[in-house]
Amino acid sequence: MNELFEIRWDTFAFSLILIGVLGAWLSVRAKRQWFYWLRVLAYLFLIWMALEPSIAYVPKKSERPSLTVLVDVSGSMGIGEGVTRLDKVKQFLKENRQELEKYFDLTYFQFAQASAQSDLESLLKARPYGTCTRLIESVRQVCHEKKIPGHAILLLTDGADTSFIDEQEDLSFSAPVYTVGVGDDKELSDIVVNSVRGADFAFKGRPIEITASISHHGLGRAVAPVILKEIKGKGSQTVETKTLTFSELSGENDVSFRFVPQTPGHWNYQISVPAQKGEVTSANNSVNFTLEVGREKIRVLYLCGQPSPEYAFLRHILKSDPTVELVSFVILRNPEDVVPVPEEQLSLIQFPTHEIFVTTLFDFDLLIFENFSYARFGIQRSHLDNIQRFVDKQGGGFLMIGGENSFGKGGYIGTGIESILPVQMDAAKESVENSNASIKVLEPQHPLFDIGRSLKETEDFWGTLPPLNGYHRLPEVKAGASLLAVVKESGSPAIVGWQKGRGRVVALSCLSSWQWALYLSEKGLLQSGYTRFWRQMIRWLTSTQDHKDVRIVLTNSNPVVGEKIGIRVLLDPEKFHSSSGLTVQLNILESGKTVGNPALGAVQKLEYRGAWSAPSAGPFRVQAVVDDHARKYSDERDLEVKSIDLELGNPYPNKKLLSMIAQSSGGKYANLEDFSIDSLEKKANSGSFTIQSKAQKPLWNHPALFVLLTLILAVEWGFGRWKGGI
Amino acid sequence: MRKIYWTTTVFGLLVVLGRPPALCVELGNKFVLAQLKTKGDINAWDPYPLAALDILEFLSRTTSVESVSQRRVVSLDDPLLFETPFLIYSGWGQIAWSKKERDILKKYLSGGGFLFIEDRSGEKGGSFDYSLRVQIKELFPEKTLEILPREHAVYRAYYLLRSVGGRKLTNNYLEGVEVGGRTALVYSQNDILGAWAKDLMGNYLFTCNPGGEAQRWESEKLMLNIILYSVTGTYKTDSIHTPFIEKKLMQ
Repeated sequence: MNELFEIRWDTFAFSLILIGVLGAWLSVRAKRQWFYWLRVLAYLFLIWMALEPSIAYVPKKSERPSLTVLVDVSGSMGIGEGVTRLDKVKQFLKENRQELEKYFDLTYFQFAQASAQSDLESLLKARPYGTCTRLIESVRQVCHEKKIPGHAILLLTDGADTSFIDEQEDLSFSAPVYTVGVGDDKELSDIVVNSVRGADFAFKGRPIEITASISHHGLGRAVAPVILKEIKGKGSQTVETKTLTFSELSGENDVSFRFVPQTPGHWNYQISVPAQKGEVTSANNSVNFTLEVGREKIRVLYLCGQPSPEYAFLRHILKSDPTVELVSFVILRNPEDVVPVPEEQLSLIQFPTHEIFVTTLFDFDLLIFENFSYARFGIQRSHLDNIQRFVDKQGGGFLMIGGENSFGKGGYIGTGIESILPVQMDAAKESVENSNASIKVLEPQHPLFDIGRSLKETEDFWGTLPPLNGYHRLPEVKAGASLLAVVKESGSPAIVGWQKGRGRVVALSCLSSWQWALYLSEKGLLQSGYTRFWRQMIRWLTSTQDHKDVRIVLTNSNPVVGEKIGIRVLLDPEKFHSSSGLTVQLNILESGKTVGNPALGAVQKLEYRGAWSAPSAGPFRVQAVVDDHARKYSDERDLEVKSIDLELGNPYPNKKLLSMIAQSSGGKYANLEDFSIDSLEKKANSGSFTIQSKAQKPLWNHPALFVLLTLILAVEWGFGRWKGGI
Repeated sequence: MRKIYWTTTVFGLLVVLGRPPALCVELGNKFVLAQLKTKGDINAWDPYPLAALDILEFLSRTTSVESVSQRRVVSLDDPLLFETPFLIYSGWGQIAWSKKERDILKKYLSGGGFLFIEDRSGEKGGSFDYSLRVQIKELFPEKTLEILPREHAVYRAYYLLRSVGGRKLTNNYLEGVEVGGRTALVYSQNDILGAWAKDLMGNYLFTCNPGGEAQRWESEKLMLNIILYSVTGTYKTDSIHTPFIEKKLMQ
């Protein structure tokens, strides 16, 4: 052996002395035959071995340092026309076998997903296999198993790691790693959609530009379509197709798409190039990305039958909300009103019926009718049918506020409006009551009313508001609609809402909610509760997704197995004024069961970030739960994790990674063609491999100890038989 | 002049005393014209008790605004103040609001209330004018009365006004204070209400100087615009109206 043993007797000698003393003492005391204590000795010996004793030694400086040859046998090593990458490695080992054995004590390992000890003969027969490469983990595993000081690793690989190494990855190892890169880009024919650039946030109705970086290798002159698709469940819809012309043998091109997202929410897109003839793989021909589409402004069209304090207050709220773009029309003069001046002296304009109800209606997100008589201004029933389509099909919001010209009294029975309203209309049963109307909120936790930090605060707020001056008495609530508030004095529906088709509709019977604003101001509360109520009303009516107290944003909702997904949790600043006292938890659910709790870190006042890698393919759900110790808020997002052949999805030699590994471990990188054993041998001779420090060697599994144990037991048994003392 | 004064005062008292005890409900979402009552002589805050009736009648006849036909009289400590988003204060002499009254007024204006203040004396730098500016500084230290530009919605809320009327023409502009993104207080020194004042026979009590009846007509239109502004806000400055209005104003 090339090792100089320096046996430490600390454990071993102490144990033997202890056994000797104990044996002598017990022998005298118990008057037993001396060989009886051999059995005791054997038992104690076994206990000692169970403690896994080891010996420390200082390795002797060797003429042949230890070298592990670690060979990549993953799927990507099978790439190559005629001669694969693995074939080249085999050839290298064959050619350099003698020289390697001459200079080094060799151990062979092979790896793909994990490393395993091997031998040269096996390696020379190995075939590429596996669908992923865990390069860093495999090297670490070898370092762990080969704890020989002065040991080095010769890593033969293409470097095509599939474990999604990020830039912060720790690449230091306990042994120098000499990396030898195999493979060349030129041996491939392939198209790769490398990445997608562009904002991950867009506004509804505003164009956005997304640019894909696409590289090609070995295809020569060719033309290929580049397709932008919107992923919808398991299907997809093409948004735009562009043509990419490859003029060089290899190169990289940018392809830009400019499109207009039409619907708010989170949408998954894919940019792909169909597989071309001769391509080594099509697994890298597409990239998925997620676009969060928001509303730059909620476009509100507010039609009011007459100027009133309600109009003034509501208009001011909408106008002062930076997220709202308001277009409003209020009828200042009815046909019967007599104005003693020519039209030129009035600021009145013709009511643009056609423009509103035909041309621009569908550009809005919310339509408000307040005491508005459609029949007096040349509005046809067909126009009202458009409003029905606006709600049902487009997902627009509709709010009708009471008054003499609203609901059944406004002549809306039998129109398209009737089908979308959540209340029954009956002109005979309806009336505008000029009596006190105290609003009793039935569902304080509904998003319309949920303005307090706790349920009690919300209930207290709504319970203390003064009665309003009058209301529109409505007959009945339609089946399927939610009766959210009633007039306490009469039980008449006050606020009723429902989801109608893709849109939402609210019927509001109150005539003068502005009274709440002045009341709150009188109490020194400004208008906060009143303003929040209306803002939440607008947001609830215009979207099912926009307004959330807690919102999850994923960097990619269609990741592949093992890919790291960035998760952002955003808290609504209107709901959470600060992050102090909040508990934010992230859960990963699979089939309803929690399978992970990624850690979250606060990056901004109301933003948290975490990451997660899916261990397997399938549907998962990301859930964020925020607890402010009064109540819990949550949001959920679905993830569809795909399983693809990562080896072929990333077939390119990664020389950069291999250089980094070599540099950070104290080794050196070279291409297989440029690598020589001499350089490694010189390095070894210079002492670069050797570290003069003590090492540990396990003792418990040494065969001699087992022989000794057997011997003790045999002697004890023999003397026992002979003397008959047992 | 003395005869006119006593005639209007007596009639005004009759009207005030003979009115229903309160507006109570019957309001719905209707416009209510309220007049601010201050301490002391009734003439100090209510010189033209009949003017409101004519204004409301004119409002109903020419516009779609539905209003309660009688005015409401409130003081700053009246709980009804906060149920009345439109308030007129016509006065002269020094304004002496207490801190408590200023606090109430500040809450009223900040909460969405609208106040139209008239300096009947029409004296620039007079005691009313001076004390009002001091009071406003106390109310909103960071704000001052600003001249409302010609593009302001108050000049185009209903009638397109090229000039400012009133019983007198102290200023050819209105001033205002912006609170919470809207002009919550409008100030005139032209005695616009005075241009509305009539005797029992329906004759105007005052001549409008120097413009005569044309000036009175401008006063009446301006009063209506102020009311319309209070119930429509900046509606007439919305971009959809601007080209039409500019075109009309060019004519």
